[in-house]
Amino acid sequence: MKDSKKRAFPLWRRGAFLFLVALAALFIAHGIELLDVEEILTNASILCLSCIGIG
Amino acid sequence: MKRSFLRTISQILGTILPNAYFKAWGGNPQIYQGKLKAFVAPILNCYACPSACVSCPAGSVQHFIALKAIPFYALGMIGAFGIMLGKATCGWICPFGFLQDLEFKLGRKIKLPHIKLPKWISYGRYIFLIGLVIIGPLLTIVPMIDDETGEVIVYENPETGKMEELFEPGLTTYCKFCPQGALQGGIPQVLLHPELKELLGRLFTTKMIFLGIFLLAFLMMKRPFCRGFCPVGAFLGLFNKVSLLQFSVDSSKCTKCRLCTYSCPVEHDIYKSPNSPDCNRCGACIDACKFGAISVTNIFSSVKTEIEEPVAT
Ligand code: SF4
Ligand code: SF4
Ligand code: SF4
Repeated sequence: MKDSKKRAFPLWRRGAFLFLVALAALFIAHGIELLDVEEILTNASILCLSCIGIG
Repeated sequence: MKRSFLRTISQILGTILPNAYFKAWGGNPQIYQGKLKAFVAPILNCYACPSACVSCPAGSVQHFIALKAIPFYALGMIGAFGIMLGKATCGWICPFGFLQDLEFKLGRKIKLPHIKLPKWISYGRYIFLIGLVIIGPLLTIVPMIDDETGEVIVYENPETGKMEELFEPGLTTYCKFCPQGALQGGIPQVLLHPELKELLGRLFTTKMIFLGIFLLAFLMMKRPFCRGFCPVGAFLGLFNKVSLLQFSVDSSKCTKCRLCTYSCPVEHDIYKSPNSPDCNRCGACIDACKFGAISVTNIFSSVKTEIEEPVAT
């Protein structure tokens, strides 16, 4: 049994959480800056013949 | 309100809201092309569905890779959900997860056998994620060849000023297999656009066979697709250990009776591993545990009781 004052989760997991929050924000911002995601995804959905089963 | 009731309501909304462009079913059927399509939802919901108003994560990642673009945006979007909630969207809103839950319940009602899946099935979803979502689209990108000269066509990129090769985009290889695409995209699109029938061939037939096999399996197995085949669940599950949402099992209360496992829609032993990538965060086990051993917490909580993270298997 662990002692009662101990934190529930180890520090590395909390650190990883904070790191990944920053990374996701960076990815989204960079992705939007780099490409017109709205147009690409709309086109992807119209052109996804593989989804429908054509090709 | 009971958690299971809330979850069902949430799953119904999760099925309707991402597919709420009902106009697509009207006189002049056209797929939704508005701004919401840029939203990559953390569920397997096919964006080729006529009324889908959000994008599918698996489809989006493949599409960016097929265009030789690193899928920063799509990964960031799914990651953002994963970091906050882990795999909870699988348990609470995914339409394909909901379909599997419903079918399994129906299977119990009509007294079909319950076939248990081996634990190793969960490796399958990582193989699909890496093989068909990442490597497949990348390997199928081919350079564009000039018919007359037989050479690769090059052009000057106006932004960088460098000469670059033109290429044919890669294939969305996971979509070619995906049964959710067949159900949500294939069948309705063909019904709405009969002219597509002329284009249907072996791929459509194969997809329909896969879909049929899965629909049958869902009656007898607990979420077989989520556990062995879904790249979205595979990715989201990776965050379960570090997400804001965490589960905790009090080992001083747990009697290892396995009531949690029997109630679990994915047959996971939460008492052995509370934050495993297999757990869909649905909370059914919390209600099933008669000893109050399982609880929801967050990664920053400092617990004053004797809570222990059981050793993962
Ligand atoms: S076919 Fe499947 S993977 Fe592809 S976009 Fe549709 S739901 Fe997503
Ligand atoms: S694993 Fe895939 S199909 Fe299953 S609930 Fe999650 S996103 Fe949906
Ligand atoms: S372990 Fe509990 S929360 Fe996780 S999927 Fe199973 S029943 Fe749901």
